[in-house]
Amino acid sequence: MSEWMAWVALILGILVSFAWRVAGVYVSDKINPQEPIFLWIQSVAYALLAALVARMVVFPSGPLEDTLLWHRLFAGIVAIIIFYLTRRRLLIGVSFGALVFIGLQFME
Amino acid sequence: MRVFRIHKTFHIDAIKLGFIDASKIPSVALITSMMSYGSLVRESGLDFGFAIISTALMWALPGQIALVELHTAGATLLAAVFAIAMANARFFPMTATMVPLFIKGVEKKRWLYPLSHFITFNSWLWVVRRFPEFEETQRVWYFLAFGCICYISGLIGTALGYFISQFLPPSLMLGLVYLVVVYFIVMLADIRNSRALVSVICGAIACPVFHFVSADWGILLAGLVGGTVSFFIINKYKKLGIN
Repeated sequence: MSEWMAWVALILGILVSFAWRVAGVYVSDKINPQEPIFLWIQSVAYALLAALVARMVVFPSGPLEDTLLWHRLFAGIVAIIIFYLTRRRLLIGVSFGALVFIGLQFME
Repeated sequence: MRVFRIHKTFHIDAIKLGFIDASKIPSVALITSMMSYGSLVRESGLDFGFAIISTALMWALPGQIALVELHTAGATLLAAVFAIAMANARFFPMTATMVPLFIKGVEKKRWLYPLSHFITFNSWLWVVRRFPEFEETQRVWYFLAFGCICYISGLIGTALGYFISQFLPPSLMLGLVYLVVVYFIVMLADIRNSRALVSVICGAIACPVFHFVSADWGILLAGLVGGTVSFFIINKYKKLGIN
């Protein structure tokens, strides 16, 4: 793809992404939060987010591709443990997880 | 996470809490993740305008990354647009289930369309978790305040990544890239609603399975199948009287 084509792809990509949101707004008017269909869509949304995160951990692309799977998993587990040990302080748990990940890179 | 006392009639409390929540870890995670995107754009040879416009107008990191990576890999236009559509399909179920939670606070329904631009992974998880604390008419103000701070952070991160990430040590940069993943892991692990938690577990298990079926469709299939399976699991247990 040339640079010019990348811009065309960007514009189409922006339209496609916004179309998903617009379709969501359109449908939201037609469904009641108490109905099973709403709960089903919500389950799919959660599962999609979890699948996205699982892929970033197990099959990352870009610079993370060269890191080890156990480093990525370990950093995530440490972050969860620290998060709960500090009475659910998100900033501390997440920073700790990222620092552990950086530390592991130096070990290799 | 602290629970704030919220006055039931003042929107300002909802706006304030939105600012406070977003200015902590969500904005940090957005700055670091958008920095990785900014640096990716520079490495691929595209200009700064491309980086900042894509963040501002697409506002969906997985789709943006897919576009730049495919550009570098020399993919066709159709493949790139298809990949963005797949990567960002999650906005459909997310928007469909989030808008009904705050729709009462929006008088003119046409405003829902521009508002929906601020729905992201980040804002969705926070807003869905905070909403029970608010009156229905206040929720949209929390969402808007939260979304604005995230948006500004994302734009700053993109610019920082484009211009300064090349001067940072590579291992630090890797840590910054991974910080957002760690953040998402903790956010998902901390979901209290049992229904949502079952869906998250099913989605995470389905991901590697469907990734091997198809790298393009993997996430979408994992979400659909994982979400549907979890929906039936929950309904079955509900019938048995276990919540």
